[in-house]
Amino acid sequence: MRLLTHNLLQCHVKGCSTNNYPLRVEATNVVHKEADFNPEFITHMLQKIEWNALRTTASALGVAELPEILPLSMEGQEELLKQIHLVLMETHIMDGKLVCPGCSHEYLVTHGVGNMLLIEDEV
Amino acid sequence: MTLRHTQSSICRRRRTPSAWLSDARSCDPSTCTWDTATVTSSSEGRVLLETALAPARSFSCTVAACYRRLSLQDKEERRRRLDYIDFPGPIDMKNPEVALHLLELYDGTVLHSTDAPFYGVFFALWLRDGVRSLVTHYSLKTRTYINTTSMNETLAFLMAHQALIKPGSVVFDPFAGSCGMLVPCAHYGAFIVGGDIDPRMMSAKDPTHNARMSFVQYKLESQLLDVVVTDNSHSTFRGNVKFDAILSDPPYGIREAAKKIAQVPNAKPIPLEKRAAHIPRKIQYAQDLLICDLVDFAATHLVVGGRLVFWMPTHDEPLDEYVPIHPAMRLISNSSQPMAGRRHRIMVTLQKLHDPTPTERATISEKYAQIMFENSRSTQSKIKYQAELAEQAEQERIAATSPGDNA
Repeated sequence: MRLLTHNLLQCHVKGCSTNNYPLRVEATNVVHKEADFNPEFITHMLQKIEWNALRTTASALGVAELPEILPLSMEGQEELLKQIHLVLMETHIMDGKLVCPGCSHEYLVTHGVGNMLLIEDEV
Repeated sequence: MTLRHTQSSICRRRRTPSAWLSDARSCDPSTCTWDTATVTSSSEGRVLLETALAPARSFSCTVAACYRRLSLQDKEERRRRLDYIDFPGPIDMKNPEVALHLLELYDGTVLHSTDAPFYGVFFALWLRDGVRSLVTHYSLKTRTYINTTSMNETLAFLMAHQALIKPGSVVFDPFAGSCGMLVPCAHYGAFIVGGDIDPRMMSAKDPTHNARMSFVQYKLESQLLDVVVTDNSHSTFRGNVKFDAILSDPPYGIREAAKKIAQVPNAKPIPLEKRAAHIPRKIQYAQDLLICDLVDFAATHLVVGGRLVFWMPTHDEPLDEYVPIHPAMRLISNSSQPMAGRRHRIMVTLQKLHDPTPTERATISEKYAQIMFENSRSTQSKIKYQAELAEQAEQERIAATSPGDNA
């Protein structure tokens, strides 16, 4: 699971609607896989992601230290875009857990695929 | 609102994008003869041709016939008949700026006969090549990883066209399965997120048998963002996640059962150490509810102007009234494909107009829910449905007999 996908997911246990994002990553295996750098796509994705969540997750995993505030325009910010690319596209959670900060529900990640299904008593 | 395009009629429209300068179908075949008057008879066609050729652009003219072979002399002779048109530019057969095509059509019932009845002549301007070759390249027959309901490659491309996929679009399919519908999107440069309730489809445990394989095979792996195990009835995406397009072929309960996680009151909590191996109990997912959930999901999670393209089954004539309605979405098209028996499946394209308010929900006609229940294979759901109807009637009866209570 890429950190990009992690950035899109929240806890959806019945009744858990506040403090359910971002899910805390407790990973046992995080790998780095090279991906093609596409600055237009990264800029496009910046509108879709939650910057603070990405920043704290990247920092907690020790991947990169991203600036607190994004510059208004990404023009000429190649270095920063490359760093965001590293976090969003090249960092994969292979095995571990995503833990809800509110209700402590745990979603498992195995072989790089997150299982977001709830079980019978949670829906 | 268009009713009942067939698959082939849409495909045909997509196949050879060209501007017709004349159309012999408007002629009466018994009287239509091959003369210069028919070739550019319409004033619209003449204007189109003059605009295309000016100012002095190089051109070529290809002559071909359907259901008859034309010799080189025949072709040359046909070209000479176009002498009356003013071509200001030079002839360039290899790299023309304007490519003209002259197509003669003969009666197809008498194959390759020299005296097959002449049907008409088409004179057309080439716009661009079609993309038919993609269908062979992405054929399911040569796909390494498919399942029982993998989407036919032509239809999958059709869906990608309907969804207006562009390079850099972010596309999601909540019933991705083997990702058959997402591969064409990846081909057009979109980035893919796939979801499915079945962890076996998504799992990367066996590297040769999972949804990722389809992308690896076509060297599109860089376009696949992730696959996630999700349940359509419970969205796990943060509320303000916006996809550029959502494509889906939900299970119809015919070849593949439609399922969602069951709500079990007083269920025993599963101990943490057993959760990894625990497969939650699933129940039948009524078709109308599934479709409404999907449309509601799309209304929330599409960008404004983004499109939802999905298939839904009917057990009856594919009517427009079966298409779900959402106040925040607009119907673009409803195209049907006949299936076995009286079944059809319809491909619905909806476009998001604005972000929905919490009260704006998808609705589907009662009649649709009814025919889907009546034709459901599950006796259990039929019994449940009848019980619900009986209960509803009973409540109405009680309400009708005690009108004074509220007064």
